[in-house]
Amino acid sequence: MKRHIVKNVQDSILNKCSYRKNNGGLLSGLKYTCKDNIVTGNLSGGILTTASSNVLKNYQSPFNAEVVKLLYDSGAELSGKVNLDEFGMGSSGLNSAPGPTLNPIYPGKIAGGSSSGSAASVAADLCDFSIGSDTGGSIRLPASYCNVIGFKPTYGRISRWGLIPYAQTLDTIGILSKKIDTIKHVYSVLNMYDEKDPTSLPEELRKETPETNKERLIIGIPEEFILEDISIDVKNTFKQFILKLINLGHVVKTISITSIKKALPTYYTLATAEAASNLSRYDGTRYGSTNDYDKLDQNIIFRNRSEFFGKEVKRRIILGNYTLSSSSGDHYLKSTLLRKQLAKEFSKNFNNKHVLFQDEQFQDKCDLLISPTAMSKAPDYETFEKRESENILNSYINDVLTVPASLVGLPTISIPINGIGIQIMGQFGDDKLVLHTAEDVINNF
Amino acid sequence: MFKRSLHKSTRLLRQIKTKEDIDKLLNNPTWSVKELSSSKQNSNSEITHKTVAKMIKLSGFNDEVTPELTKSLNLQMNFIEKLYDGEEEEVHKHSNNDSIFRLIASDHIPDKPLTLKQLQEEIKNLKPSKEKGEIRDDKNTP
Repeated sequence: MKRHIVKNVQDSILNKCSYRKNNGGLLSGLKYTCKDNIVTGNLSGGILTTASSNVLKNYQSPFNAEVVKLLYDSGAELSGKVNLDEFGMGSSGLNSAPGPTLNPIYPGKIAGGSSSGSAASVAADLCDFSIGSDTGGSIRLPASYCNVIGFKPTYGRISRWGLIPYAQTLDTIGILSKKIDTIKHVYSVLNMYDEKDPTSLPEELRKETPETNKERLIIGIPEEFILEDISIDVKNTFKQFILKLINLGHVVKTISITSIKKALPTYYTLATAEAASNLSRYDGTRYGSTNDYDKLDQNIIFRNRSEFFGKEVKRRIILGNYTLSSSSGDHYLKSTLLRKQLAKEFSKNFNNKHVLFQDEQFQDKCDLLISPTAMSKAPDYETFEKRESENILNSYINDVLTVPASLVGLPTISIPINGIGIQIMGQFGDDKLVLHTAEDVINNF
Repeated sequence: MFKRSLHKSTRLLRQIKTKEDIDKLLNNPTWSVKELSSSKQNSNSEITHKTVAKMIKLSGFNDEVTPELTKSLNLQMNFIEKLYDGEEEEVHKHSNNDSIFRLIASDHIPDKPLTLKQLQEEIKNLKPSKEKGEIRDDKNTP
């Protein structure tokens, strides 16, 4: 298998570089790694951006992503670009052209994906924090498998300018670290409106977004997150976590969000359809790798795409094109309607109003929601690959606990409690409450 | 199985106060994710060899149709059909298929309408952006 080619754990995680300015900024002295689907330009010393794909193996971006620029201006040092599942597609860290990301703290176990290198570089102390991206759980799942903190902010809070798109209505840039304090500082630098990103949350709505500011919170557990498949150790840790919240003086109650059960098929319909569209640009003539062919004809596009895309990416593109085709039915439309229903159902369970659904205000609801991040600890390579080869869907269902917050764009953090990831979700825009509560729980555990 | 459990919500939603309450909640799961990966007896849309070949071509690949790919596409479609579980009609056909749901402010809170004068003013003030690469910079072009 490919992983035996990898020389050591560090080589499987990152390509080193150094890009910084000494300016005494807020993040001076901190080193970070950046997922390799976030572009770094010529000005940063000619660091390539590959998305861990052979399609972009020699790609040099002409510009820096907005997050790279903001971090440079605040004094943080970019110390490496890190491995991922090709174009962000995967939950294991194994679907990568350069080879799998090895889990630095649990040898033989998968690192999780798709921000595998981000989580692994933090876990291995190769940096103070890492910038990743989360489409359906791609920050939170590897954070959980590598025992670090992973924060996916509200969709629209951090600029996506320079993030190579997988599914643009879901892709969200976020932060991983071992220290919640570091995540808060980095978030304060990156939480900026950006006119270059049409999905950026406008300035006036940022000001209007209500923030929860109270000591005694009402915390909901959607009963649809209580799955038969959750392992005993995850269940036991989740129990301790709930008990801790009660002991801290919060009110915990069960709620029901029935659409959660359909979130996974909804996600895979929408994400693959968007991927099929986004990745159509890589044909070796406009973007992406190409070979020197003797004959230049229209088949060059087919040859390039077949040769340079990995297996999982191809499968998702084909599935996306099939669900979008007239012969399959209106699955895209159905998923869109289910996503809307899910967003409204989630919103109705929060006390704060949703800043985009301005007409709605509910009372006696929740301030936060909680669930485990993953159904188990990181599985070992053999178990994961065996289950995947038996049924491809086995690798998709890993995302069942993380996908709902992605479809709805909620700020969500995964924090490690005794080696198990637990998620805290807030109302759309209520990122500060999520971070504040995570800090409080971590300090009291 | 999925259909039944989707509509079955007899559990009382309640406050969790004690260790016993937590045990009771976590020891009574509401469903299993296996319900999503189980295959249906009479799937509506068996993907044939011919359809897979067409989709490979439409996707811009020249790969051969393999049994593995056909199998995985069928499994994935079976999974996607779970979107309709609990509904009478299995797969819907709509005449209008151009709906989209995004979490973008302008989709939910319409901007104030522009007057002709404001529009003209905006066009007049429009300048190419260096950051967006709208101004050619040979030094910074790879």
